[in-house]
Amino acid sequence: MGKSLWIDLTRRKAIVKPTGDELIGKFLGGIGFCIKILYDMTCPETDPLGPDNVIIFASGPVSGTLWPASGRLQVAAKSPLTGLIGYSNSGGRFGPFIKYSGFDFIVLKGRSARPVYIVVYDGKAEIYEATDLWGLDTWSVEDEIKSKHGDVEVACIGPAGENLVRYSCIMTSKFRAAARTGLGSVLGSKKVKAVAVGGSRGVEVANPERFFELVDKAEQLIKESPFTKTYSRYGTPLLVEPMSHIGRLPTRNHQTGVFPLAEKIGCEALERFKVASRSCFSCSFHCKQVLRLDGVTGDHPEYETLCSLGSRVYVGDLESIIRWNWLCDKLGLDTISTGASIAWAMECYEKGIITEEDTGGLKLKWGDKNVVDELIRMIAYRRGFGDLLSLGVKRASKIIGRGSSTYAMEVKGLEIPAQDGRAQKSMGLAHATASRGADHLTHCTFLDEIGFEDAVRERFGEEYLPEMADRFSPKFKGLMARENEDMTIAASCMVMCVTGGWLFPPLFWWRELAEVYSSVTGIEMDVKKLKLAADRIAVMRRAYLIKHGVSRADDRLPERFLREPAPEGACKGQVVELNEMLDEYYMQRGWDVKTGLIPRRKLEMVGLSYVAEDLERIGKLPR
Amino acid sequence: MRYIQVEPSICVQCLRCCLSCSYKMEGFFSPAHSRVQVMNSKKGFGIPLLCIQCPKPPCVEVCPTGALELTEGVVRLDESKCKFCKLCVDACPIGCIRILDGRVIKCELCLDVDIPPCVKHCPTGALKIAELSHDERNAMLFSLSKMISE
Repeated sequence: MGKSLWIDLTRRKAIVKPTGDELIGKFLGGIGFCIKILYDMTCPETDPLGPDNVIIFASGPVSGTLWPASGRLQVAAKSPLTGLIGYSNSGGRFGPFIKYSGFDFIVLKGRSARPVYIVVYDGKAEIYEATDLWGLDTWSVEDEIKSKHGDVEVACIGPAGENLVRYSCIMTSKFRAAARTGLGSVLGSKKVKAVAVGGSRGVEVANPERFFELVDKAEQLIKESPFTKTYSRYGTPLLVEPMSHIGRLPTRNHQTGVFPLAEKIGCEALERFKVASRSCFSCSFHCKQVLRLDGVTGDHPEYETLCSLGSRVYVGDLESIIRWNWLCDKLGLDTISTGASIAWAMECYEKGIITEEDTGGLKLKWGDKNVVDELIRMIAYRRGFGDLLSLGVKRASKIIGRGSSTYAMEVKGLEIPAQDGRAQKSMGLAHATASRGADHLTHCTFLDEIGFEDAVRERFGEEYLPEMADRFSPKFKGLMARENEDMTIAASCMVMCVTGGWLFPPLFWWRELAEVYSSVTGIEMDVKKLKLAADRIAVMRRAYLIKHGVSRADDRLPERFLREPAPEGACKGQVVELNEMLDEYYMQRGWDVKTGLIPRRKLEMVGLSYVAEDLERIGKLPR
Repeated sequence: MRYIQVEPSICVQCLRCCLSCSYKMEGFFSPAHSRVQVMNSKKGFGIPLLCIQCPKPPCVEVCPTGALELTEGVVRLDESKCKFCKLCVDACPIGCIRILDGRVIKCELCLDVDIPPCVKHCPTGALKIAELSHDERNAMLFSLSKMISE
């Protein structure tokens, strides 16, 4: 039986509890645990930056094993950026090392009076003073803690998290981020600079023969996949040029999806800095490229960062982007929201909405490297105009007014990542409906990106072709979004990387996941039961949002995507047919099409009657 | 004689060698229990470290009880003779003899299987099986010691 660690920072007390059969049976692990705990322990009145918020670091049943790409960490808390459910997932090694430390997950609640860090090692937790670490960047914190405590993995915040920047992140293994929804500021509000985990508790598997057979098959499939070679060589930066080619690389705050300088910041351009490849824990893909610049050796900027600090702010200088990526990592900033906030301000400046009076004299011209560089630091330390940007574009545009919200590229308060629904319709739907706000990784609707027809045929059926694999067609995108969202949830329960062969490249699917789960846990799981668990978790996540007032009206997109036809590129003239896709998505989910609320029978079907009672009490069941 | 050859420049530090090693030797996954350890080099790649079976093993030379012996090209540990003096731990130039849970642990090449699990599950070929002469093993020792001291 697994154990979980609950730390009350106010009382400086740690309690060890059994993880429990109910939690394991109904919510599997990882994201499932996180959502259940957040639903039970936080409510609309919970201040995300107050002591009542909880933050969870979770592993899953497959964490710590030899399954390829099973080394993810799942973090969650109520989000200070969106005021809704916040969740983020990170690579590196921290997730499995929670297991080796003796626990399935760690929950922090309350608030410490002074800065502290926590070390969890071989079943024990110690809280240490962190006054000396407060103010340090994330790389220095990791070095300091490792030099004192040896063989541990560190998750920590930088100055941005301490300063409660609404989109500050949690960094692990120096370069991997639980980036989105501002979870760094939750740690900052609790005065926790870092959590370190380590130890030598072994992870067993119930049926080793079956497990190793599955691993061998998976390794073979990975080796043979036509995507592995390029993905291993380049990682996500390989997307930059093709995405610009199809008009999906957000440029100048989403004014267009074509970036004329894409080649300068693409994967081939990155090669000249490359010194090695790196992998997250237990991953055969090793999609991280190690670069050397200015005497620093560190990981490459991901596709998302090449967009947010590149095309989105119209910078085509790769060296600058590499430096800013590391700067954001060290300061503890989500590069997506950072770049998106700067891009919003630049467009407002272009349109004359924001002037030098607002910025303290800064001229926010597209592509001005000095401005971007200065703003990143100003945001992290909340200096001058940076203080406004540190709130995220939704809050900032409300404060500025003057029609600036038209250019706020966000949904539910989370800045839109590096896709454009006009160039890939399913991404429009994903951005609109994701629980954490605009997101590509809640639904992972990758099948129409380059048109995975074979995967569509195999996973859904011939009758969904050609539309489902066609990125311009809104048809069947609700079905794909629902199915891929469920798979993403299931993989994030384990906790596996969604791009470890599940959602990309399309190698494994439900049957394999059920088999891996069964072989590791000894709990026989079939596809039907696994899908039901994923559905239950999706329903509970939605119920959390509904309790916070979310309905269909909030599953929206900025007007730009609905009314401004894509100006150029392969997607020229396209807009997002959101309503049509939303109808199909709700229908697929079994939610009320008119309101986006969840009917009682659906809640009962997934075994969440008590959630139905909660929603009934506040009048949030559809009539 | 079949040895394990280490090629650090292509090691991606996934720890799949450590995981599979710990499972074979202990019956559970725990990188701490692995006979191969992976170090991060300043150059960005990993350095997989495992006993390279030195032709003139310093660990055998310092062992006062004869628990460590070089037989048929492999440095073998007889746990029943080990008195935990840890002299071997200090003697190994690349730190490949370790004490864990009150035991001395080291790689003995998994000669009971065709392909050692660390080699089998390595995704890049940073660990591979090879026939290695005395000189080649000495050269590997030299280059690994140099790398870890950099």
